[in-house]
Amino acid sequence: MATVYLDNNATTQLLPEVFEAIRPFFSDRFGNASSSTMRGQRARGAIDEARGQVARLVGAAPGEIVFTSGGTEGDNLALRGVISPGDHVITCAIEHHAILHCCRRLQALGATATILRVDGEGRVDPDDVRAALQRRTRLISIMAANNETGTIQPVEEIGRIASEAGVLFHTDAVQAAGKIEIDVERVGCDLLTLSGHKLHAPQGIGALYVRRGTLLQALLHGGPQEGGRRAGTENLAGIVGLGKAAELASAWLGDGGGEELRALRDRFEAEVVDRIEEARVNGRGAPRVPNTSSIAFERISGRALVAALDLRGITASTGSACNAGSADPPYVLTAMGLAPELAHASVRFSASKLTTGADVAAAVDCLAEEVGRLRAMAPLRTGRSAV
Amino acid sequence: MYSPLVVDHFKHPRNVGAVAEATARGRAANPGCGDVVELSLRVEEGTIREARFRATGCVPTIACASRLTELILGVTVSDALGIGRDTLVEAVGGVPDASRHAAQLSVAALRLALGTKGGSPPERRGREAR
Repeated sequence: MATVYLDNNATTQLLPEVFEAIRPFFSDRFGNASSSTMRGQRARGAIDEARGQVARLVGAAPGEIVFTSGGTEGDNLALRGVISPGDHVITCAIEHHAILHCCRRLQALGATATILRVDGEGRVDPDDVRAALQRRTRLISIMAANNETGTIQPVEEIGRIASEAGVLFHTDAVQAAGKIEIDVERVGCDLLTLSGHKLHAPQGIGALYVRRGTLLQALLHGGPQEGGRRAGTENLAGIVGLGKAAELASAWLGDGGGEELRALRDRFEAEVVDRIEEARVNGRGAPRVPNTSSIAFERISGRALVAALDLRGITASTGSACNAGSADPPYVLTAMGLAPELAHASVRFSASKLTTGADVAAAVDCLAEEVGRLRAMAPLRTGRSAV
Repeated sequence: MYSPLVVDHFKHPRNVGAVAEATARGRAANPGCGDVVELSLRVEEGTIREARFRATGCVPTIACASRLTELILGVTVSDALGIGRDTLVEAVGGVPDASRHAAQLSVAALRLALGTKGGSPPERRGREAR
C-alpha cells in the first residue's frame, strides 16, 4: 500500500542529509562539549556551528540561540523565564497548550493573564493587543502561525506595539519556522520558540531565541551550559541535526520552496472543494503558512475520516481525540467561531517539502471516496436527538 | 489498535440505511463527542425481522452499530434487550477502554427503539457497568 504523509504539523520525516549529519555523533564523534579534551572541543565546535545555522534561519546572532528539548520547553522557558508573580501576560485563545497551560500555571503562581479572542479566520486583532496592555504587563506571547489552520498572525504589528509599550514580545514560531521567512528583527520579538522535529530535524531538540540583553530565569539549574540559561549536557546529535535542518530550510526558502509548496497546497484545496460537496477550508481568508489545510466536511466525523484515510495509507489528523465519550471539538476551531459539529467534522492536512503532486492527487481521490462512503451511512439531516 | 472485526465493520458496515417500513426507531446522540446512531427496525410478532443503522462517529461507533444490527436480526425483543454494552464490545472483538461508550450509544439507540428509554431492563440491571 502506497503511503502519503500529510501530518507534518505533528512531526516531520528526518531528511536524509540530516540523518547523515548526525550519524557520526552517535558513534566516533561522541563527546561532552563541556570537556576541555580534544574530543570535547570537537563536540563544542559542532554545537557552535549548529548555533550559527539556527541563528541564520531566523536572522539572529548565534549567541542569542539557546538549545532546548523542543517547542514545549522553549515556550515554558520564554514565559516562566520572564514572568513573576504580579506580572501580566497577554496571549490568545488559539495558542498551543504549551502556552495556554503555562499561563494557567503562572496564574496559579500569582501572575495575571489576558487571553485574547481571534476572528473567524483565526487572527488576533493588534488593536485588541494594544487595548489589553496594563501597567503590569510584562510579556505579549502570540504565535507566528497556528498549528491547526496555519493562520499567520500579524506578529510584526504586535512586535511594534510591544516595543512602543516597553513590553517583551514572545512568538511561538514552531509552525512557522522553515515554512515562511522569519526574521527576529523584522518581527521585533525578544523571544522566539523553534522545534526541531517540525522542520525535519530529530524529535527532542529545539531552540529559543533570546534577544541580547533580555533577562531570562533558567528553568533547569545545574551546569553552565547555554550561558547558564539551560543547564544539562547538550543533546549533541540533536543540536547538530537541528543545525543541519535549519541550514537546509534556509536554502529551501531562498530557492522558492515555500511558493512551490503553497501552489501544491492550493491545488489540493481547490480540488477538494471542487470534488467534495459541503467542504470548506477553515481560515481560508487569512494569510497562512504554505503547507497547512484545515478542512471541514459537513455531516461526518473528522475522527472517522482520519481513520478511514489511515486504513488506506494516508496520514492526516484531527485536533480532537476521544476519551471515554468526551471529545471536545478542536479548541482552535471553536475559538474561531466554528460550530462544534463543524469543528468535529474538520481534518487537518499538513504537507512538507517531501510531499509530491502524486501524493496530493492520491489523497484527493481517497478523500472523495471516503467522505462519500461516510456520508452514505450518516443520519439524514432531519433527526431528533433522543438522548 | 482496533480489533480486526472493528476494522472490518468500519470498512464494510452491514445493514446501512433505514428500514423501509420500520415499526421501531431509536436515535441516540453523545453530545460529548458529537457521535450519533440511528436504528430502524421491523419487528413482527415480537421478533426483529430487519434492522438497519445510520451513524456519524468514530470507528468504534460505526463498528458497534453495524455489529449490533447483525446481533439482533431474528432475535426476540426480549433477547435483544438483553444485549448490553459489554456484550456488544465483546461481539466486535473488543474496543479500547476509552471507546466503550461507543457500544453504549448503539445499545441506547436499540433500547429507545424498543421503548425502554435507554435504561437496562429490570432483570438485567446491574449486570453491566456503565
